[in-house]
Amino acid sequence: MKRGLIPLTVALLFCAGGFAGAQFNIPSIPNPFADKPSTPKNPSNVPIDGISDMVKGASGISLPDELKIGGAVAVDIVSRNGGLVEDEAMTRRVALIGKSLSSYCTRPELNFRFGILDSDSINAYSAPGGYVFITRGLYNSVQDDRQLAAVLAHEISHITRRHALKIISRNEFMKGLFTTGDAVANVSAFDSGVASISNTLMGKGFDPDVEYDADKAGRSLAAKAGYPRDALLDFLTQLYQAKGDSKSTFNTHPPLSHRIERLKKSS
Amino acid sequence: MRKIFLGSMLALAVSLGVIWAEEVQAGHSAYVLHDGEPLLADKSPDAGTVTKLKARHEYTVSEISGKWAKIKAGSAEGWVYLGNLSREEPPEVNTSAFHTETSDTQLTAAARGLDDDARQYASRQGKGASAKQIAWMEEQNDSISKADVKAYLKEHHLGEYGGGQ
Repeated sequence: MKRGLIPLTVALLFCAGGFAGAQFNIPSIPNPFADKPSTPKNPSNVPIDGISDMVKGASGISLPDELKIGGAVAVDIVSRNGGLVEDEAMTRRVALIGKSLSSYCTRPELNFRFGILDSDSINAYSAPGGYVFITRGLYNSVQDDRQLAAVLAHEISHITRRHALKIISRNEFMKGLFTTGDAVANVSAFDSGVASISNTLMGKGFDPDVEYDADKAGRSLAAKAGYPRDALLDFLTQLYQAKGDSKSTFNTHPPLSHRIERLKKSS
Repeated sequence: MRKIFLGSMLALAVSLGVIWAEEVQAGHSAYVLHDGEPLLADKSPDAGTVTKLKARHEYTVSEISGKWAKIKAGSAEGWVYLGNLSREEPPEVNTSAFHTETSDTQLTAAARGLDDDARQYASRQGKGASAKQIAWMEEQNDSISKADVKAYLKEHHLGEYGGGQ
């Protein structure tokens, strides 16, 4: 059996390359922003839990509904992380870098906003609709704008790839909430649904494969904006060397060592 | 065991196709991210504008050179920075989805504050202070114009202003 598998494997690999090459005509000069092809369990535009990408997004959620949900989740993020640091200079620095990145993202219909949470922990969050937050601890941990951009690009990618909305769409009770037009039809269901989403984002976090996907997509976005591709890897490595796989660092994300390993493999 | 292996290999083949398909490539179509994106006479943001490109319109990429793509637009031909292109058609910017009017100086086609339903959620949950802080954050962010971002990119040699072709 094993003898038969080797040529079959080679044939399939050639099929894959041939398919891609024939359909997409890969040129001799590669796209400098492209990642090395790899085999993540869940590449970005492969549906999560069988949810197909549609015109409205991952779950058929419209932009107005995304803004309702995202705004409420943003309120939860701020309220559960010490509030915002109301420092104009710090916020402007983060927002300028963030908007430089988002000007190259694939969802030009969104108006991205960036803020700093008044928390010592090292973490970052995003909410649907364009809300991106980093903690004060993270802000003080990055060595330079390049590392800050790498973290923001990761969070922007969660939004552009509608990762949170794919979680939302798993909750059956969210369906039909917005059928009456502009207003939320079922307030208690909306509140319960938002709380559930927020608990996921600030509790166990996204599935590891979703985080790895955001790492790769964020790296590509950062490169498009002109930042070095390895800035995220550098930052995570720096944190790992200082703290190891500490629970105080990106505790809603996979262990640093795992993310570093994945980034190295796909760099 | 064999079925699992074959399944894995098929998934690998599909994955490779999916990943490669995401990037703009020569010989295939692409979309500009922003309406009015200039088609440039050369591979430089300072080059003259040949014509302006339309969002949600499919263009053919004839060549990729460094970080730039050569685009055909009717009889015109010129260059676009790869970061301003997407293989996938960007969603339509539906301004009716937003409650407030926009101005040309704002970064995106439509800027707005925290959604009314999100604000009401904050009120119901006793989180009005957080909603107020988000409003402050939005105000800070929305004070940054497209021109500010462009100036920032230029000053820090980012994006198409990064030098090299």
